[in-house]
Amino acid sequence: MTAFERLRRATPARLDVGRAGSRPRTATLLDFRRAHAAACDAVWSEWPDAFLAHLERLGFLVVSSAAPDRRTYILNPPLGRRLAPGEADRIRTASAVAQDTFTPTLSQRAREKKGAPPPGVQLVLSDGLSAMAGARHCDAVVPRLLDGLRTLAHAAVPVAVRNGRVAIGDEIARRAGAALVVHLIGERPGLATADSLGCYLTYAPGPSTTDADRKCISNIHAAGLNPNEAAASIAGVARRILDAQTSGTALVL
Amino acid sequence: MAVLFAVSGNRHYQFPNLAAVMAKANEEKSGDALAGIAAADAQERLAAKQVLADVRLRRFVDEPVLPPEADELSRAFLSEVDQDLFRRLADWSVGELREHLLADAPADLAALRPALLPELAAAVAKLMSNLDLMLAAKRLPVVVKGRTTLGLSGHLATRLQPNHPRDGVDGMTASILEGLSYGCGDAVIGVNPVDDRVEVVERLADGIEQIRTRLNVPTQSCILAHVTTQMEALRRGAPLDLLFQSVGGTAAANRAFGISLALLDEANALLAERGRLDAATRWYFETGQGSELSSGAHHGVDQLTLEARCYGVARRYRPLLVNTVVGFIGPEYLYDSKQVLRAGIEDHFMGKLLGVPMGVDVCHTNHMAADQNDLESLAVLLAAAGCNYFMAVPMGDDCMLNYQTTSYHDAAALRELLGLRPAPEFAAWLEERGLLHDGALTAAAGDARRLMP
Repeated sequence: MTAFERLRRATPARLDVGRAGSRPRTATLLDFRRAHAAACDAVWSEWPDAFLAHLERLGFLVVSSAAPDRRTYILNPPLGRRLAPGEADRIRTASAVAQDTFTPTLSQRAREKKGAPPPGVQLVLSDGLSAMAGARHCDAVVPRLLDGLRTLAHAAVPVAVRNGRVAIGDEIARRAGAALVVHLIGERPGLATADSLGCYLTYAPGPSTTDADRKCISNIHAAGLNPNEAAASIAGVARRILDAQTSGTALVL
Repeated sequence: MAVLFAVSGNRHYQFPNLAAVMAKANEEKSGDALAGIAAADAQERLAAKQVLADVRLRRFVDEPVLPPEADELSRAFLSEVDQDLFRRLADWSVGELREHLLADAPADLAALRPALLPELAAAVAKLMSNLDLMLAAKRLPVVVKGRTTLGLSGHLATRLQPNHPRDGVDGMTASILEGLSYGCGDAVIGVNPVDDRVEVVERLADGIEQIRTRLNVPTQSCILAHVTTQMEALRRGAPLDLLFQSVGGTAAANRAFGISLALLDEANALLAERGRLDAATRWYFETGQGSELSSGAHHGVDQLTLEARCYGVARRYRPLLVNTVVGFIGPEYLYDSKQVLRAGIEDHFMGKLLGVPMGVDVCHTNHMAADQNDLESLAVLLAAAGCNYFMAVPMGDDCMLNYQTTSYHDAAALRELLGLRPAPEFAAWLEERGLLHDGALTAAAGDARRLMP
């Protein structure tokens, strides 16, 4: 390997691609365009009906944000942070039904003995800026993650959101009466990957919650944090947050 | 304060104040719609432009769009206007200003700059077509000099942007050497660190310095960390030629960036004391329409007007480099290629009118309705309008910031297409190295191996 090769291998930048006059070679140009095409398709993609049915089989309640379609969602971020009319009631009702059949876990009993309130945890899955990310990694992440979260606290009925942004998880957790929201959401596609999932964990979410109050685990995809291992990482962070009773900057992970 | 009226056909329009006229006179931008201040339809937009065309320039001083009581930038801008000079144009209408910019001798126009409030640049831009904006900018070059001379007619420079996802010096070095071999880097070699710590700034600065001195490259270096981090690095003796900071068009937006005019003044004083570049121009600023709204700091003022105010901040510090990052902030501010294209040539024009040495980061994110073809089109328009510099990134794909901008190849192609040359000092260096001959890349260009030790 030459000295330059060694330097070039130290970066993912698209180097040493040659040129045709002052323009890129044909294969290089098409490779670049292919990556961009995948990213654009991911942004405009929506969850197909089959995946929505699959989510319901996994126990999810599927709701919509106040953004009625992808274009509005892209143009008006505040709408993606709020629930569509009527959805809050559906979440409250679903949580109440689930509470009736809820049996406290051991760690929950231990907490109650110490006098702490039952720390409900709310799992949310949103399409975000790449619906493909959630659809592709759901089966690797969600069942394991739900199992992990149930050992920590009472898990509210998981909620899946169409046209959702990060902060919509805060409202969902409040409606369900959960102390911690664990929000899996499709990340803005880059050229390297169009199906990356992020996870935002927020303790005691409320209207004044800011990004500084959240912990984030990003880059969940085949070439990043392995989706099969992501659930354990997320549950570990959730445990730290529940113990510390904060997800803000005071908690250093 | 008089209400402003327009009658168009059988429709009557009424605007409560100058800020409302300014907002509604803007070309369509998703950010103004998101802020709830855009024109309701195309006819109201034109009615606002008609009203604006008849507004006298003195009204912008008498009735500031953003009151000085509410904002330190307004106070600074109003106090810095050359009053004697302003009296000569105070009775011009905005419509007349447009015609002067297109018809008067460029030297006379350049002499008016100290009389121009930033808001005037925004006002007149709202009345101008795309070709107007390009031509007026071309007539108002801003030439600055560091180790290279930038902004000369017939030249196009680039910022070599060798970003790396882990701030690795080896990977950065590979990107720099290849960029230089394509004739890029005459404006600056400027890297965005992932990690905003002093030791990272020092490490990256040392990495660039090593290449610059070994190859004797006539250019500047810059590490685009927060200005306070760079100040600390400068105090510790890091080889930084320029100080960088992102700026916004309101005091509140600047608070969100963690800066104030007092902090920039302090940094400027440190630069005077510790700066090592032997030049009067040692600042680099970045801006972009929509940043004020994104931090909830827009005060109901439209994004074009706030962008002009960013250049008002920049020119207080005599920068070497200023660029708008025109497609970066997202589709909720500039939705598609039409809006990005318009914003790019507006920003370049406003900067040049105010005396700022404008470059443009012609770019887009993947959730915007724009692609590489749109980006190339805008770059051609801006290069034709005399834009000082563009970014240069391997294949236009920034592997750290995750967005697309202009590439090493694009810079070379734009120079070939429009007959433009690198900055003179840098072109001479490229010729010496056998990478450029008679303004054209040689067969040896594009191969970084030739620049290895």
